[in-house]
Amino acid sequence: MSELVIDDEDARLAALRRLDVLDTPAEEPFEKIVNLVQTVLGVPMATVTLVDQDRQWFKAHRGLDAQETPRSISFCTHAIRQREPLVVPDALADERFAASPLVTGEPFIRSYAGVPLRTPEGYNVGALCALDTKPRRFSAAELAIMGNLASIVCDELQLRLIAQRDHLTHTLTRRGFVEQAEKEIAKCRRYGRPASLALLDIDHFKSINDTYGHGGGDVVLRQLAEICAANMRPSDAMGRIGGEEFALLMPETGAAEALAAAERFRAIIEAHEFELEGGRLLKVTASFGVAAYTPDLADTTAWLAQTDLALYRAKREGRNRCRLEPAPEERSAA
Amino acid sequence: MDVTGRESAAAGEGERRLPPNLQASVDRHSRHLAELAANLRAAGIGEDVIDASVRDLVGSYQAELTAAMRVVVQGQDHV
Repeated sequence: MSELVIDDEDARLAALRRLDVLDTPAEEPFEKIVNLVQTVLGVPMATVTLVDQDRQWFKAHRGLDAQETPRSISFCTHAIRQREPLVVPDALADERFAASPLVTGEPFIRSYAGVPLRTPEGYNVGALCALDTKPRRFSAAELAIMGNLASIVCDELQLRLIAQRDHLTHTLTRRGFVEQAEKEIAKCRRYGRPASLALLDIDHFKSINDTYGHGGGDVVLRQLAEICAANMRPSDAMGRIGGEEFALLMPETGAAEALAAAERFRAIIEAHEFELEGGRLLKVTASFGVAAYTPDLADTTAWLAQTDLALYRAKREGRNRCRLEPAPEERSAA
Repeated sequence: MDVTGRESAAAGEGERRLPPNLQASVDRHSRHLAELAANLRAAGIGEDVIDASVRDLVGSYQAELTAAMRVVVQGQDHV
């Protein structure tokens, strides 16, 4: 597992959003785990808690009525700042928590053990928690069991993520990408925020496959996805939506900015030396189509189709270039 | 081909069908369950409770895994 990343809250929140679990209904695997915590440790309360920007939200909870509380009064906001479990034997004797409304009022938490839920990238997105209304020392054996159950929570969350990921490039599958884009469209409509889409198609990919075999083509796809991922913002999403075609979703990004970003990716790919098996180096280029979201686009299919027009122009005008749809001259005429 | 040969060929086919990231997830989950069982035993929890707990957790993971495999296979077909 990756090293814990503590001081990049934006990236941590992006990792949490990628899990796509906030505000989803109760689900059996997590319910079973909090039941086990309650039974095995004999605590009145147990939760699978996710720490969002300003709140802690419970994916599963036993013995607590609330579905969420402000983050500022939570124990878990402290738990996610460390590698090891956070253990509070007596909250009234701990100045961080003594005045918390969760301690002085309902549900009267007096002791707490929280094991961080860490993603494979190293972000603590929440904690598996055991809570008691009495002071309590959690034994090493109990914390070991909590640790195992926290790992199983992470397995479940990770499995859902895998289902959204292309196994060769680890980018989103077409279906996973479309789901992300649909959510972004809903956000654009609701809050009037900008967003843009870029389609990237590797130039002459067939001849790469013909010359170096499918193994060579796979190496190119994998490395291209890696260099794009390394240069994306945490809030961006990338999906493999066709054989050698990728899509990049850029929230909070208008047309001009998205075109500039695509140009940056294009230049990075052009400058990169793709290393094939046996150490052979290969230069590859890609063409990009870019389209900003506009309210007349009914759904992701329409948005992708608009972006595809730009990609088609980039290909037709000689490849290894970026084009915007509608073209800047058409935009200004409109 | 003898039975053993057929079986190993079938097993090989099965292994090829499970993408590496799903296989890694299965391996990780099995390891975590084994560690959980050992730690429950060390904490003095009865064998029947351990069996029931592990069976429960395996069941829900299996359902998720089946759903994930379906999505992955559909995704591969599309690409």
